[in-house]
Amino acid sequence: MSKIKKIFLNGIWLENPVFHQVLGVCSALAVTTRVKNAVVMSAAVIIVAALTNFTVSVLRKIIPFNLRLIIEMIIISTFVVIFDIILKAWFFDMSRQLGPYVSLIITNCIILGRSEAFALKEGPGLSFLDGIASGLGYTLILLSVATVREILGTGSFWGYKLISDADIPARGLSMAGGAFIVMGVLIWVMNSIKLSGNKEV
Amino acid sequence: MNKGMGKALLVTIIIATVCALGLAFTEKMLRKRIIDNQALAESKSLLKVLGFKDVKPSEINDIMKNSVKKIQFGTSFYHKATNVQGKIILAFPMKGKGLWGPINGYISTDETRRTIVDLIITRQEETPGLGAEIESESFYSQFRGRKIFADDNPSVVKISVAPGRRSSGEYEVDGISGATETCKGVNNMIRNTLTKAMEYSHVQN
Amino acid sequence: MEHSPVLILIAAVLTNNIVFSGFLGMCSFIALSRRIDTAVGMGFAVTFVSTFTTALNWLIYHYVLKHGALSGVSFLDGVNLEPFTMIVFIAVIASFVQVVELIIQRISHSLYQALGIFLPLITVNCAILGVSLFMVIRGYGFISSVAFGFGSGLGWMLAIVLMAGLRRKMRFSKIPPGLEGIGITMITTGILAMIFMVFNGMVRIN
Repeated sequence: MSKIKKIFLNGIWLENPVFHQVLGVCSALAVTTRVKNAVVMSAAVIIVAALTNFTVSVLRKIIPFNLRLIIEMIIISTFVVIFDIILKAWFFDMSRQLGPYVSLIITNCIILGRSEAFALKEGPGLSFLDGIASGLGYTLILLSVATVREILGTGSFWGYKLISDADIPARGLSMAGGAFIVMGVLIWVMNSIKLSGNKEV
Repeated sequence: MNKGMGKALLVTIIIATVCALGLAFTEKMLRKRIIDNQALAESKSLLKVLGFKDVKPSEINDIMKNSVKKIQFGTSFYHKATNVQGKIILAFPMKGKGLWGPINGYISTDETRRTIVDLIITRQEETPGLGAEIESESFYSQFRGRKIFADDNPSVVKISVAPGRRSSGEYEVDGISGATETCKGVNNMIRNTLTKAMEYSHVQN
Repeated sequence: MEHSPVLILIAAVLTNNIVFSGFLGMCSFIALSRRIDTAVGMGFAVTFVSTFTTALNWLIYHYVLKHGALSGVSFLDGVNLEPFTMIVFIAVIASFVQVVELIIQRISHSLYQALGIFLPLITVNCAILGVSLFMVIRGYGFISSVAFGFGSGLGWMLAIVLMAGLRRKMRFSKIPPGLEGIGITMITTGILAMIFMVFNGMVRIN
């Protein structure tokens, strides 16, 4: 039980892959102009990370060590492409909006990183949970950035208008540069919380 | 060493084959659905410029069959429909090129082909946040009700998109600042489509 | 009206820089921008790999994978390999990197020392896969694709070298403790991205 708790605590907060290892930021930034897109993207990463971790863990004893990267990449791309096909079949509008970034989950280093660091060593059940946990960590960042950018940059939330077009506070945030800055400030806030927590302990 | 390598390759090939089969199977199962989705999305855009707003997905095929007529002209075609107010609207497909890739869409005019009714962009690969803004309600809304020709010269298309800046006259719509190439692409696409539409205005059915 | 490869190249380096407007290749961008010499090394490696894998992937896509590309061969008629595009692309990139690593190791020790350590990292650099993917979506011809691959690589190199220079200066600045490292790098990248938007009016063709 405590091991599971530790996996989730590490994945989401203590060793959040996006902050700590700067993994998976590429796609994290591109899709965060709208909260809705960020939710779908996060779901994709959670599902793919969990399934990949599970599969790699099941196969870990027979995967040859020197070819493991290629095998991991094949497994990841299979899951990503299948997810993309499913998205196109049932959520067509969403797949149009996310465009190529769903496919680029293949190179999201979180997934490869976790299967290298965790799934090759641990059992399938725990690996599956670890995939979900790292996916959730990614989700936390994605949703925070997307919320700030959608509200301040386009004046709406989940597609509903909150602020009239003329009064949008920071239109620049919906552009590329804004994503980096929101992300930087978010990292600052989270690190500061962590630092002050450490002092008390 | 060699034996180990052979086994490693065999394992890799088996895993790759299993993955490929899984993928092929999923694709085969869902292929028809995806193609239907694409066709449906295309029809929905077409109906929007023809004045059928907020159509339910289940009604799209019915409306397309009963109320919209496809008319061939030259090597191209247009769609004709009567909207809710009883006015005839013509929708012309547009094909053009932006900075990064193809741009497609529809533009609709009234029966005289002299006033724009609506516009929609159905495909574009432009820069998100800049050129990609051509696919937005605020860009479309600028075109509604615009005159296509100047009063003194009724044969040359006058309406244009300002390249990457605000409009400077009655016959120009605001471009998107920072996206000069995209605006030029859209401008050419709209003007080519409207010119061709006028050249073939005698083709009526 | 096909845009000239030169325009695509300039656009890929400056106006639509793969880091600043495409958000691609961020992981290694942040991890390897601490020192200028590593940044330059990685920049060359990325440019090299991105140019050649784009060319290879273009040929494979258009002559094998594309829907209908195999229709000339009778027994393969009707086979659709399009869904495998991504897997083939990533496999091509991974194998290309592996082969280049072997070749460099054989022919030049000093080049291997300079580039070798970066090569394995490139497989998971999403800029490389992104370039191949965008080239398919945007329907580029062969020359344009190569120009795009080369330009994106150069653009990535420009971005990481600029960043490395800035981070060297920043070492002597006072930065709030929570903002050090990734935080300030992100914010600086954001400011650089805004500066790069100035290039937007520059690319013109008449």
